[in-house]
Amino acid sequence: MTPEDTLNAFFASEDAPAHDVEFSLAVTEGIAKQRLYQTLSRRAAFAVALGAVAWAISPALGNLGGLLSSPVVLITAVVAGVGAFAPQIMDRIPVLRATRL
Amino acid sequence: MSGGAPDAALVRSAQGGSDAAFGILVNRHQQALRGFLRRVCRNWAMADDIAQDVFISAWSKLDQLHDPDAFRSWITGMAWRRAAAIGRSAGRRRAREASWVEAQDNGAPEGISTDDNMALTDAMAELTPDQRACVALCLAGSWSHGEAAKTLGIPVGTVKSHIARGRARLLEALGGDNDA
Repeated sequence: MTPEDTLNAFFASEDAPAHDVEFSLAVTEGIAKQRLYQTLSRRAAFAVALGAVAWAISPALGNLGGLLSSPVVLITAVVAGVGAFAPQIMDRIPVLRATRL
Repeated sequence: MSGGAPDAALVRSAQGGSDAAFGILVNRHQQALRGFLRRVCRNWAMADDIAQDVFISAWSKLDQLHDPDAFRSWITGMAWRRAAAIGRSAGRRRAREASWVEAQDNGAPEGISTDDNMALTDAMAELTPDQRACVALCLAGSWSHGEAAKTLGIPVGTVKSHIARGRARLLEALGGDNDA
């Protein structure tokens, strides 16, 4: 066996298996986690933006809403109402759309 | 998406949201990427962790890959930068020690004596990170000098000299001809 052959055998011994289900599953799991973080962070940002808008317009809504005694109740109702439909709204906006699972 | 499709087609499909296409890319390139990292890091567990992180990172940055044909170079470049950053940290010494212990625990691979295996393990560890990377790509792998240079971000001439010196050092460790 020549030194070159030994060197090649040494390199070959460091190769990973050609098919490694465990490794592929670990990558898939990592991607799923990454996707979840991205989705959650997008939705959290969307919720914060909604809250800010609701807070900004609350005086106007408060003046209109003689039916409600507390602006906080009104803001909560607006945020909850929009939040309930957030997934459907976001799926219609490409930038906010969650990546397909 | 067929497993025999070229990288460029798979990359475009993955950029369009196909998990299956990206899965094929992972299966196709994991062996080479892990092999490269194992040779550069000299620590298999660390190398596999980096490879896993690189694939996950590649998935999230796939839109930044403008040349779909260059997927192999792209992920290997990312892996090299991560490995180099880790190599500069305090973990390098531990990685070398772990590599040495691992080589002893595993025994010699088929076709190599224990002495030769240990000599080559030590010789690889003594190469500079750049030399190891060039040896890993162009000697252990079958990369062209040009592609290795582009991936590692160093001139082609430097790649050639790293390979020559690395090869000479490894052959010297085997007691063979060390002329580059």
